Amino acid sequence: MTGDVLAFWGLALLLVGSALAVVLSKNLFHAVLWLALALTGTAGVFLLLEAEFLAAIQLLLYAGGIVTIVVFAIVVTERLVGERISQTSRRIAGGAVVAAALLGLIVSAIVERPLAPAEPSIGADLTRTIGELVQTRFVLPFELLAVLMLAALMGAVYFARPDD
Amino acid sequence: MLLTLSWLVPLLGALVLLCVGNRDGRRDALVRWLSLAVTLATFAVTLVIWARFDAASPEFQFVERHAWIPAFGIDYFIGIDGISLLLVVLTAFLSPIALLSSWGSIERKVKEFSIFMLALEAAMIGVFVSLDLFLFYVFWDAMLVPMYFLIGIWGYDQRIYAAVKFMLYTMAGSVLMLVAILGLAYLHSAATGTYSFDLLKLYTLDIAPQTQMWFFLAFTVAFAIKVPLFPFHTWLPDAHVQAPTAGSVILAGVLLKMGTYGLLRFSFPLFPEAAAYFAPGLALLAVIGIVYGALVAMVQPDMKKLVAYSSVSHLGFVVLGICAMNMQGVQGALYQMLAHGVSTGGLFLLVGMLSDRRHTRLISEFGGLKAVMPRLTAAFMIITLASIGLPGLNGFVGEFLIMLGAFRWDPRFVVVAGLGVILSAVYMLWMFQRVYYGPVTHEENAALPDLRPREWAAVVPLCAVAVVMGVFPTLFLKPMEASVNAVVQRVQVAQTLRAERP
Amino acid sequence: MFSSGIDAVVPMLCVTLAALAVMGAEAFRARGEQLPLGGLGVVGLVGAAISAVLLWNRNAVSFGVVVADNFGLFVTLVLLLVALLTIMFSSTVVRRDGLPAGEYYALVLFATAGMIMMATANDLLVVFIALEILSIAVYVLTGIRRDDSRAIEAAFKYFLLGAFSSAFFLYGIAFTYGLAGSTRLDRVGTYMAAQSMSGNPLILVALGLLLVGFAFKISAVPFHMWTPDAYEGAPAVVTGFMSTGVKAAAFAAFARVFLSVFEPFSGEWAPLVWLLAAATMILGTVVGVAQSNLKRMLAYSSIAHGGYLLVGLVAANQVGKAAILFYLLAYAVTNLAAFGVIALLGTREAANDELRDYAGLWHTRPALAALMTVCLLSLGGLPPTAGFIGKWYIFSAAVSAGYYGLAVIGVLTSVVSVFFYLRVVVMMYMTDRPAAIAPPPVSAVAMAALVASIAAIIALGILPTPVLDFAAQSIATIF
Repeated sequence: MTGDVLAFWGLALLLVGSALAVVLSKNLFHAVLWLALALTGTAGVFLLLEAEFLAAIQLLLYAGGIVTIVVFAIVVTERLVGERISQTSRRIAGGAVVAAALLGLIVSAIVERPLAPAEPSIGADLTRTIGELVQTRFVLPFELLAVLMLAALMGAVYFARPDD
Repeated sequence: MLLTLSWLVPLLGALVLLCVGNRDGRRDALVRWLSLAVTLATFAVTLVIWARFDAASPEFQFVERHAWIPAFGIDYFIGIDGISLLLVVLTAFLSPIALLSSWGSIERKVKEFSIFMLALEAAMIGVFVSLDLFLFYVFWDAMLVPMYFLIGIWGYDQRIYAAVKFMLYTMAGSVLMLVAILGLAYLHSAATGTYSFDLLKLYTLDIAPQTQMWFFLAFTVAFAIKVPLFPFHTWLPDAHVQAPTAGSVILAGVLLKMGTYGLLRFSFPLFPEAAAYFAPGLALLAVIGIVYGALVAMVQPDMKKLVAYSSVSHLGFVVLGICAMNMQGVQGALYQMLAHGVSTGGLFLLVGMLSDRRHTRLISEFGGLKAVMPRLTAAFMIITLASIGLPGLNGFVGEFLIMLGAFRWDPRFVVVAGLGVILSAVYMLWMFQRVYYGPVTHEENAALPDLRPREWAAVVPLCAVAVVMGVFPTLFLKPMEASVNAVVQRVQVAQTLRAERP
Repeated sequence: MFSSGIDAVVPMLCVTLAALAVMGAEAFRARGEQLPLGGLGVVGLVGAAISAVLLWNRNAVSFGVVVADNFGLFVTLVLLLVALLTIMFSSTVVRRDGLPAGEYYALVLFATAGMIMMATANDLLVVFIALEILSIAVYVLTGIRRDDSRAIEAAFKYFLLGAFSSAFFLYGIAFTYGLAGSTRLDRVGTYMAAQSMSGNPLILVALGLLLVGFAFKISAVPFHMWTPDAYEGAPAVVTGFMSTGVKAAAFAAFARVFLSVFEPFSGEWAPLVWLLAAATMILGTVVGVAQSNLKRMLAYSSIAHGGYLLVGLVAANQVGKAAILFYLLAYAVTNLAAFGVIALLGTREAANDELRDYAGLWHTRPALAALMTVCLLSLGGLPPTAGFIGKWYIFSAAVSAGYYGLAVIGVLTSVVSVFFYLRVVVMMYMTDRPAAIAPPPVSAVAMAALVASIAAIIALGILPTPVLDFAAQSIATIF
């Protein structure tokens, strides 16, 4: 039990710290590396919650795929622009105030009335169950995601393609 | 059906005109005759209604009722009594005259001008015949649009400012009335379970005194702006002066009456208790307006502005009569509304004719016109004297009755109002003297043409009516008597009943 | 667990298929060949409309997450109308500005599909995905003029703030799920009803986060910052589409979630929404007065109209719910037509969307000026137009729920808004055109769409009863 708690706080600190570093570091490349760390930390949280499947997906898609794409994007853009791009976050104080207020609000609510831990309703073979659910109960949302992807792809291609 | 026709005929006329192709004004003549014919037909309809009107009955007549928006208890519900009858006739009477007056002065976009005039007439008549508050509000607001365009497109130099000011002032007042109307309908549903905007049903509602105060204020501010009651009058000089002649005639002749009509039809009978409470304050504003309007009129160099401020003064009398809420006061107020429509409409018409000829309305630009244009001078004389309230002409009867009624209510107001009567003689006659008497001071004026036949056709009916109203007042007082009595009774009974309530 | 039928998603399916058909046609189009892609879209929309009408009164449920109840179907029909008019206006614009027809129409249809899904979704997860579908499509549509830096800036701003608001929304969903153990609205509703007396602060956190998410999408003050820039930067016809379609869809979901699931907590959220409504009406009109660009002015005006819709939501009585539906329809037709006029007056070289570009329009394009005037009068709430009945309806809801203050703010702000609508009228009718620049010709299809919208505006203003009844029926079955 205490191991879980310790691990949670460790991961939480890692997550928050690296997330802050993402927004605050001037060097864009460093920011991406911090992002990778934050995403991996999230996978850790999932593991801690015994959601191995999610953790794996998180690692594969986000820490693996997304971060790679972002790195590519930065490199290509810098080559196109011909100079180093640095992050220009402004109004950090204002953002901090809003974020702190929101945090305070949520924390105070959770302290007052903790969420009941959700019961694990999923059977032994997690991956199989998820696959079945996606094919049955969540089939419509799943298909809708396809529509979403299609629209997003089309938009991306439209912006990226050269003028005819 | 007859009553529906009275507002539908001009509206259909406007729609027909919309379909007349008039590229580059090729069919202006046709458009003019057609619109004149439509307004004359409307006038004929209203005359038939007057002829068939049963003067002895205080009830609403020619009532038509059809369900319109049943979910809200909104009906197409119209009817007239002695109070609205003559205002409808007045509207239909002034419209052809206003159109005729525009034949010389409106040269461009004649078709659109006529469409807006007809739409305006339809909306004005609609306001007077509506017995459903929703319907009333629709006409009340719809009327603003054509008037706005008439002032804004065909007006004088400052027309845009005047048009926007007119629209916003009037709307600002009327939207609060909208909230009060919705509140009334809600009270009706709270009391009976169904929404209703039926005026006759709402008359019977028992409204808490506190609520009455708010609703009375909301309604009355809308009407006070329209009247316009001091200190809500600042839109009026701008709108009147900048509007084309036809617009001024309608504005002074009919639109202002909607304010006083509203007080008489809605504010007082719907909220009698609040009315009793606020009447002295309203009357005070009215007499301030009487004197203020007269004093400001006296120093105006511009004839149109002078007449505009004289309206503020004259309408003050009307409000005073309504506040008195006795037979003489209300009958006088109603009579004064009609008389003011005729005489001030006439004054704007005649001033417009002068300004068409000289393109100025400054009194100092004229002088000695008596010798140049005797017929116009004669007409101007009659209307001026009527406006002052000379016995034997239309203005006298109303003012006299109002003073009588107000005296029975609170003599103090009469003393001040009497001052207004004297001042009105001063500014009107002084203007007349400066414009028509003496030598011809500007040589451009020496060769001005006198009234043309078309202008005759517009002026003669006005003068004739001014005389008839002065000589045979019973002709007009008779039909309104029963209805006025009913309103006065309703308000007074409600006031005494509620005064006795613990 | 769920009925096996797919009835409830048929309207959305029709639109999605049409979008796919447009994509397919575009892919196999020979270079230089002109295809009636808009027509394909219209076919899909009409099919969707027919299926929506057939579903009326049947309360079909599909997959347990989509319900085609009358409320959803009413909004669906409004959305289909919005898409139809948009496509009709677009035909001129796409050709004139050389927009990529395939992508353009496909995105409009995808966005419409997302909107329909959002209006009929019975599951927060589906609401979210639908929201993303429509948002992604609309972001791209905003920047569809790739060579226009203003459009790109607008698209980017919209995208960033949209993503930001989605995060709020998603966080709210997460809390709701954590509490209720489900994202299905009916189950969440059961949970909330049982918890109504518990005073659990987490419920308020979930509610607040969802509220912020919705407030962004309907551009309620103070979450409106993206609106003026996005509306001004996007092509006028797209602005018309998103200012009506996105708002209608978001409002439908907003109303569904807050009036059913969070109904037991209306005591908590009503004061918040009251504030939102008041701020939205006031800021939208007051800032609107200062604008000299017509699109920007109408952007603020549409913010203000969102405020009027919120009034109906606060009132939350039977009248208010039906009023929201009627107002959505009236506002959608009117605003779309107004943006349609703006779009039709632009040329490839100049957008012609500054106020001064409208000087003397009456002389050069009397019909367009007259149609625009009707739109503006309707937006200002003057009779006899749909806008008037809509406002009447909304304010009676407020008054009968006892919110006199909100009603007074509403009517006074509509007077202020009339002031800026009149500025356009003054320009068109009362100011002379400095130089006679003839506006571009208008295609018959676009003109037909305009005339039909204006006819609808006036018809709704004079004989609203059928639609009012329809709206009242739509809310009778749910909530």
